[in-house]
Amino acid sequence: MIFTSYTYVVFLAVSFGLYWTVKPGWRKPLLILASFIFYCSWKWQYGFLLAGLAVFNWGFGRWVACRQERAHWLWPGVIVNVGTLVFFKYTRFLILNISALMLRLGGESIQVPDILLPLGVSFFTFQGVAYLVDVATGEPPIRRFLDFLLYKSFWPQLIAGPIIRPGEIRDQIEQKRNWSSDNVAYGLKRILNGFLKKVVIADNIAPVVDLVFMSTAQPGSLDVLVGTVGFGLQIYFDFSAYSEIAIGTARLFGYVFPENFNWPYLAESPREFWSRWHMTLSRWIKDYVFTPLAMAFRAQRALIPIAALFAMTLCGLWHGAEWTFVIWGAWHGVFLVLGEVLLPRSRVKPALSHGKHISSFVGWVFTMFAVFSGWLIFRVQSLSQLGTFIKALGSGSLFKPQIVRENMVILVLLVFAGTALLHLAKIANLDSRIRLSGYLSVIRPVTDTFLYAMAVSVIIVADRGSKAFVYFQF
Amino acid sequence: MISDKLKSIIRHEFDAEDIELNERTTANEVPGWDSFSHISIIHQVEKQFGIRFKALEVMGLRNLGDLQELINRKIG
Repeated sequence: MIFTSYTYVVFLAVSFGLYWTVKPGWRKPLLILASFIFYCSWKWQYGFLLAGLAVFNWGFGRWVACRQERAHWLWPGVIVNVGTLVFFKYTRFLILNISALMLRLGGESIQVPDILLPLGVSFFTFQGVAYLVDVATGEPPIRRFLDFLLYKSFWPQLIAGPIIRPGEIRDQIEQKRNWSSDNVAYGLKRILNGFLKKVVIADNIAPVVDLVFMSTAQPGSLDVLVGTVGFGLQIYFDFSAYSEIAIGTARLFGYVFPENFNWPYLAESPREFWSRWHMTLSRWIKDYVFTPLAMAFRAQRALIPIAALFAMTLCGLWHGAEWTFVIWGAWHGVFLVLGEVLLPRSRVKPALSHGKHISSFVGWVFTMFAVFSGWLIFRVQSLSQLGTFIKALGSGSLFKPQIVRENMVILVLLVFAGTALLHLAKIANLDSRIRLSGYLSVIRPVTDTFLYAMAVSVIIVADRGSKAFVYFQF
Repeated sequence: MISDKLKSIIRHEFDAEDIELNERTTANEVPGWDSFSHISIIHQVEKQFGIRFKALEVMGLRNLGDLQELINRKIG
């Protein structure tokens, strides 16, 4: 079941009601049961995969924690988690490419197996690696299996993160959660924001983006721009919405999740972008891929950019088993390194520097160019479509679309302007100028108002099929 | 207690003598301390203290206090 569905709302309401009604000792088993119902509602067989990985990671983590030299024993555990991910997500990609190579060399093609990708496998295998590495580097393991099973399977974070590290949640899981109406108010507000971002904003831009990228017609430059900018906005609102709903849901049950997005389109460098976008994933890539690799190169500073390039390329591949994702990751790797070389490092907290220096503005333009051109690579269906779209940027009028309709351009412009306003309100810290008390304190007076106004505007402007005026028939 | 030598390495990396550093300081709290500068600091610490870290030891560091403890263990 998806977050923005009636089924989920009913599921959440029932889980919430039962959770705060049953005896405290029943709460964790109830959440685990609800989580497996949530996960198995998609395909019940994969519940065994989740349970199996939970048993393995819990047991292996406890075993590693007892060893003198924990780090020596880490690798089998990492291999099991990564191997699970590679098997389900990349077997087909690997075989397709090997088969294509063999055909080129005069050999025969290999039959490509049909392997269904378990929902959330990219996330819960990465969570497994994070758990084992953290335990191997000194973090106490989660001792009770029930506690670990909750950490592993708790549904708000199961399918699409945030990727939570054990140190962030262990105390919360091991200690009793107490009722807090502030938590409930906060959680409901985050869920509401998530729903608006996803159902109203992202889902209304989606048809525009789909039209551009799935059309067989030749796009013009305006179509490519609208599609690319539209996708950049869609993915931001869509994914940040998911995180909001996940964080809000967890809060209803008394759990505090880490944030996953921090106004990424304010970033003044690619490095800063990745500290604001999908923060728990970029943290994972930095801590578990870049750092060990860069440590190997540390005596040769010139080689450290290679570690960054490799880490980002892997990040791209994690997003999907397609060459376009690999190129997208490498694209970000290149700009990350270029940013290190070309852009000055901020000596004040990034949020304070915005707009105050010309170098900040130049850095922001550089970063937005990298990010939005990256979204074009991310969204295209194939490398040949990427080539077509890049050529199309130089053709056709910037004022006359060839695929999208003019009201779609207006819609994307509207969301773009609204997003810019939201970000400007954040820079100016307008929310702090209005104090609300009690339950209202969960509201951000200015940014939430802008968000809700934008949602209403999108509803009005979104293309629902123009109808002629009723009186025209008379 | 964070040694003056370690503080000096970090302040030199960011060219900022006024950064407040203590055991609980984390990378997030120091402007500009990202993954690149982290590796640079680690390498400078190794050179100046005459020690060598393993990758997993560095990955386990949560704050400056952890780094100082690790240095002390390597030296002692």
